[in-house]
Parts: sequence; C-alpha cells; structure tokens
Amino acid sequence: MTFMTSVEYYAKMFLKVTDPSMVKIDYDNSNDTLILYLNGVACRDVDPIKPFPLSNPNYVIFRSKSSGEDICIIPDIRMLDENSLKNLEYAINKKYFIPIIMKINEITYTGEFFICDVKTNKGDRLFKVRSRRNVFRLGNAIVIFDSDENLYLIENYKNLDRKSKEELMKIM
Amino acid sequence: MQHKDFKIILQEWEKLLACFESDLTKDGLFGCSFLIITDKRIVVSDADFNIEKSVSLTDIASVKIEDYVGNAELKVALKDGSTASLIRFSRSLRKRFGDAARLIENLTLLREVEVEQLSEGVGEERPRFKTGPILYILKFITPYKFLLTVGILTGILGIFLGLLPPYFMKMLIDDVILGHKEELLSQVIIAIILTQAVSSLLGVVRSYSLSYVSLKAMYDIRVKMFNHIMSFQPSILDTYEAGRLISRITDDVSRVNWFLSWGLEQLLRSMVSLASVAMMIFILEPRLSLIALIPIPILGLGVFLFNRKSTWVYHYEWRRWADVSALLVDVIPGFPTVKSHVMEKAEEEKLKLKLSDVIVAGLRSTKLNLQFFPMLGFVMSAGTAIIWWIGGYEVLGGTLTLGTLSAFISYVSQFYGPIWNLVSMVEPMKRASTAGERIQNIMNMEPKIRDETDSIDLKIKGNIVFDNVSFGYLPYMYVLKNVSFEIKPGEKIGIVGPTGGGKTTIVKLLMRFYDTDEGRILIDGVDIRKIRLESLRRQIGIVSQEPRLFNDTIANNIRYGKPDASPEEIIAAAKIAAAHDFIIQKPLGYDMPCGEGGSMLSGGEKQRIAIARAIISNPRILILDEATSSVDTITEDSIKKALDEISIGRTTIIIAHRLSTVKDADRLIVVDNGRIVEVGTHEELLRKNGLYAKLWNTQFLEKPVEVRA
Repeated sequence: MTFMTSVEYYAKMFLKVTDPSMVKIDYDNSNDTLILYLNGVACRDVDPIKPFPLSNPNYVIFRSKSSGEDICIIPDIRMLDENSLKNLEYAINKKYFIPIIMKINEITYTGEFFICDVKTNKGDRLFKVRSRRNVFRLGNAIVIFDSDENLYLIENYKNLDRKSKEELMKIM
Repeated sequence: MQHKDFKIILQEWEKLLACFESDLTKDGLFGCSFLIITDKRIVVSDADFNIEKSVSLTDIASVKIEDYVGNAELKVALKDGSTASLIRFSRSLRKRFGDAARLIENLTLLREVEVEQLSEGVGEERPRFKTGPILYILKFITPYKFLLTVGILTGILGIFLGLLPPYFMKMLIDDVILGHKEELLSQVIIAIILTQAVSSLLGVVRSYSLSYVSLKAMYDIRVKMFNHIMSFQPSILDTYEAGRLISRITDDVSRVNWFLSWGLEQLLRSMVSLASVAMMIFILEPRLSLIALIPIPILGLGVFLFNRKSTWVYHYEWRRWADVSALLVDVIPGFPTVKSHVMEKAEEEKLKLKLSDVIVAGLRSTKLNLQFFPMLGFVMSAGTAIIWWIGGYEVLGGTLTLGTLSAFISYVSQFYGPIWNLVSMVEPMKRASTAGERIQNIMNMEPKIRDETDSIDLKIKGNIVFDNVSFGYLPYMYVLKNVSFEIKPGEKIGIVGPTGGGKTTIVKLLMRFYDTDEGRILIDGVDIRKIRLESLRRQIGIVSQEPRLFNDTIANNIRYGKPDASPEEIIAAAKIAAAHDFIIQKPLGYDMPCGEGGSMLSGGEKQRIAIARAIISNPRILILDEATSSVDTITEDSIKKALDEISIGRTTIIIAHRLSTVKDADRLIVVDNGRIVEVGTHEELLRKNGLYAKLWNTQFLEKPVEVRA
C-alpha cells in the first residue's frame, strides 16, 4: 500500500504537542532560568518561545537552548497550573517586551522620522518611526517598529479615543 | 471575408472551406493577398485574385509558421522533401494564420474539420457592447436610485430656491426703497435669510447623498472588476500587463467617479436651471431676453472649436504624464541597479527630459484655454453690458423700473451660468465615457478556460498522462510538440533540459493555466478539462522559482495554502520546509509581516515559506519548479531531506537546472526544444551519453587543463 506523508501526520508524530497537566514550570532565581518538568523529568536548559505572539499569544514552544531542538509545545498556557503559569509569564514578559499603546498624544513628522508621543501600558514613551513601512496592520491590531527595532502594539485601533485615532491617521 | 469573390478562381471539383486575408503581398509590401483553402488544395492569390501558388492537400506533409521581425510566414513541408512558402503577413495576423495552419493540418491529416467554427474565429476580436459606456456605468448606480433621486431632487429644489433672491431684490429696490414700504423690509430680509438657510441645508443633503452613491458605485465596480479579472487564468497577463489591469481598476474607475457623483447631477441641474431661468427672464422682460440670447451661437461655435482642438492637446498632456509615471515605475524598483552602475545622473537627465515635455504640454493646453475661455467670457460679459445699455436707457426713459432691470441682470448671470457649466462638462464627460469604455472592455471579456457544466470533482491519486500534447503561446508556434509521457502515482520525476525547452510550460498546462492546442492531459484517466478547476488546483501544490509572498504575516502566507490550518499544521509545514528555525528567530515569529512581495525576507527565506505554503494543503501532486535554485546548498540539502519525507507516496515533479537536485528522482525526463529527447534514471541517462550526460558533464566534471610546453 502506498504511504503518503501529510502535514497533519507530521504535526501529530513529530511536533510534541503536550498535555499541560504533564508539565510543571519552576523558576530558578539563582540562575535566572526556567525549569521545565515534563512528565516529572526536569529540563533546565529551556527557552520559552511564542511563535504567534500577536495572533495566538498563549501558544508556547519550549526549546532547548543548547541543541536548538523543540522540547514540547503547550497550545494554551492558561491550562497550566497557577504557579507554573506565573513562573512562565515572568520569563515570557521579560523576553517579549511589547508595550501596548493606550493613547496617542501626538505624532509629528520631521521630514525624516515620525515622532510618536504615546501612553502605553508600561508608561509614557516618545519614539521615532522611520517610515510608514514600519507600521503594520494585522486585522484591527497595529504593530509599530521604531527606529531602534523596539515594538509597540495597538491591540485594536478601533478602541482608541478620537484624538488618538486622528493622530494615528498621520502615520497609517 | 467575401467568399463570392473567390469563385472566379475556384474549380467545379472543389469546395471552398475558408479564406484568409493577409496584409502583406508576397514582395513584402503592405497590401492585400489571400490564402484560399478548399477541400482539395490551397491557393494563394494577389488582391486581384491572380493565382500565385497552388498546392494540393495530398502533397502536404506538415505546416508551420515562421516568425520573423515585423512579419511572419506560413510554410508547408511537402512530401517530396521540399518546402513551399505560402503567404506572408504582419505579426498582427499571427492568430488568424495560426487558425489557417490548424485547418490545413486538420485537412491533411483527414481529421474532422469544423470549418464554420474556424472561419468565424478568423479576424480581430472586437468588443461588441450591448449598451454604450455611459449607460453601462449608469447601471452601477441603479441599486442606489433612492439616494440618487434625493441628490438630484435636492439639487433641482436648490435651483428653484436660487430663483427667489433676485425677485426679493426687485421687491427691496422697487417696493421697499423706492416705494417707501418700510413694513416690508423685515419680511423681505427674513425671506432672503430663510431661503439661503434652506438652500445650504439642501446643498448638504445633496452633497452627502451624491458622494455616498458615487463611492458605493466605485466600490461595486472595483469589486466586480477584481472578481472578473480573478476569474481569468494567468494567461490574461499575456494580453494585459499587470500595470494596465491595475490602472483600469484604479484610474479608469476614478475617472468615471466624477460623472457618477457630480457629472450626472450637474447635467440635469444645468438643464433644469437653464429652462427655469429662461422662463423667468422671458416672463420678466421678453424684449431684453432676446438680447440675452445673442451670445449663445457665439458660445456654441467657441465650444465646438475648442473641443476639436483640445482633444489632442489634453491627450498629449496625459501621455506625457504617463511617460513620467512609466519612467518612475521602471527606475524606482530598479534603484539598486541604478546605484550599482552609478547611473543616478543619467536617470536624472531622463526624468528632466520627460518633465520638460510635461511643461511644454501643460503650457500648450494653457495657451489653448487662454485662446478660448477669456474670449468666451468676454462675449458673455458683452451680452450683459448690452442689456445694461439698452435697459439703462429704458429705466431713464421710465419704460422699465430699476428693480426689474437689476433682477433681470441677476437672472441673466444665472442664465449664462448653466450654459457655461454645460460647456465645461464636455471635456470630463468625454473622459468618463472613454474610461467607461475601457472598463466595459474588460468586463465583456470571457475567460477562455472555465468549468463546463459536466466538470467533476476528482480525488486525485496522482497518475498523470500527457498524450501527444502540442502547445504554443501563439498559434502554431509550438513550445511543446507531440509530448507524451506517463507519471505513476507516487513517482518522483525530474524534468530537466536547456532553458526555453518547455519545462515550465508542462507545469502550466498541468495546472490548466492554458489548454493544450492538441492532445490531452489525463489525471487518473480523466481529461483535466473535465475536472473542476478548483478541485484540480487545490490538489496540486506548486513552488515556483520566484515565489510571490503577500504583504501579510508569515503565518497567513503559509496558511494561504489551507485557510483553516491549525497552528500545529503551520509549524509542521514550516519545519518540513526548513523554515521554522529562522521564523522563530524573528521578533514576532510567525506573526512577523513579510512586507510587500516578501521584501522583509531574504530570497531563501521566501522560498522556504513558499514551500511550506505549497505542502500545507497536503497536495496529491507536488511541483517544484526551480524551487531550491535561490537557496544555498546547505539549505537545499535540508529542504531536500524534508521533501524526500513529504514526497513519499506523492506524485512529485521537480524542475531544476541544478542536476544534483533531481538526480535521485525515480525517472528523469529530458526536454529540449519542445520535445522529450530522453527518459530514464540518472545512471541510465549517463550511460546513454546523450543530452543529459552532456549537461551533467558540463555542470560537474572538470575539464582537463591542457598544459603546453
């Protein structure tokens, strides 16, 4: 019989999608690293990666720092126990620093840069954007890369106040 | 074609099947000559039906078209080994004589001939429109007729309201000021203010409703055009360049926008306004009204002359702007090439030249405007001055009141206004009509390749048969000729050969971007023309040499091959395509935007995402057309390993110049000059020492270096 390999088959056989109940996560303060317990076996050399940080932010891949191999995939980290989730979020929030823009005070154009004066969930910020090519619309979300490759996110531009929307139009 | 004319050269024993008119004589001069095909022979005659050549069908072995610079020639190879040149024609008639060649070949092979069908196909295809362009455009606003009516009615109501202020002015002068009716003053002023307020309100309603109608109509036209263009095969780009199609959806639709929003309303308003004001002035003062009509014939003549001259002047100016756009479209994407060849100055000079032409053209149209419009304006002012002159005498003589004269003068300016509007509308109306015709032209085209009523959905297993397939992008100029081969389900086939040999054309025919001229292609024993296009293409995954990524996230580009793919399937597809590792290095991972055309990714990255996109839909047939040509050998190796895995049990066709890419295929098909010249495994073909061995040796064997003493 002819055997046909499919992407679904590959996903099922090789992706190591793991049941969250089999996973425990600790935080090693002394080494500033996560410890992943998979079926009770500890892995100290892990790097949590969000492959879809905007469209599916609860999807996480644990990767071995040394071998670069994927250790396991947790499709929804909210299914982890409370302590594991807390430890994981601590590490992830450090790794993925994407301030969410809550309000745009002003956007001015200097001829070379757009200067954005914004209020984010991490505090007020003034940053430069090189051109409109660095502003991406993903559905209702907007991602802005500044001139130093920092990222800012507007989760839903429709929810911004009127003044912010007017300012945003200058750069869109 | 007038068949009766050819009777003079027909014999009793033959029957006329078709005749084809050429635009060149046998000596290569522009003129008329004819190719006449009967059931017994082919006759070539000059314009006066003098026979220049006659060839019996039984003597013909094959037929072909030779393509030259600026012209082409229909030739037949005769059974005695000689070749006869039949007729020359300009390249404009290649399709026509392609049909002729097909008919001759059908006749010589004693195939069933559908003469009528071929004869009808001969000649230029001209769009036959049931309705004119303006009526065609108007169809798009019918769904919004309520708002359109509101817009037009408020406009007309505004005209009638506009008639009141001069009358109030007459009352103000004659009754209030000169007649000393002080009690009327407040009432007249309130009436004037109210009239203006209602008029402004009507203006707002009119502007909003007409803008809404036009924007919605633009939306509908653009969506309809886009869907219509998408219903065609990629071969439409052979007829219309991508830029021209984009221009029709954007520029041409914008040009009709003015007509839909304001033109139509202005036309009606001006006509209603003209009629109502004319009525008012004739009621008010019939004698002076006749004087007001004096400038009209002069204006009419001026408009006629202006239109005659302006057409080419404006067209000339638009074309100069098009030249500038064309230059910029060419140079800006080629920016790295300009820089690397240090050609900035040269490009600047070219741009300056084109912009100078724009200035010259702009000044020419300005001069033309200045020749006519001030003069026409003067004629209208002169008409008003004459009315002041005659009317002034009458006021002084006491036969006319000052109020009546003031109101009359005010109406006259309202009378000339719509005339002037109608005059100025001629040019944009012409523009909208031309744009409408161009839109209609696209919308009236029918896709040649489409599903038939008896087309079926087929669950493909992967058996592919090319049965004596011949095909040319132009009729009778074959890229593939009598190509036959079979690929078994699950087989991995490499197609190799020199550039331009027809390898990619095989893939295009399999995807049914084009239909074969002759022969048939079968998948699992079913002619692909009987398989629903969507069913066929959904089950074929293709990665081309220069994959096109869309300006969206990496995940959405991969998901393009399977819109409902799960995150695991996206990651799995990316892993198979050796793309996962570089994707998760990006700040936003799979949510990272690719940029326009994938501009934010390297060539190798784009290629790997395209492979992931092709395999995610689990295609039954996988085609890799030079898919790994732009990746380095290490990446190619990792992709190859992944593809080896994914192609197990899946019919896979790999087209490659780099023979190392295909040498492990189950079989290799060597294509050269539109024909299959060798088939076999890598080892078999090397042993055969034919074209494949020659290509292999060129790529991988070092030539011994001759050392001369």
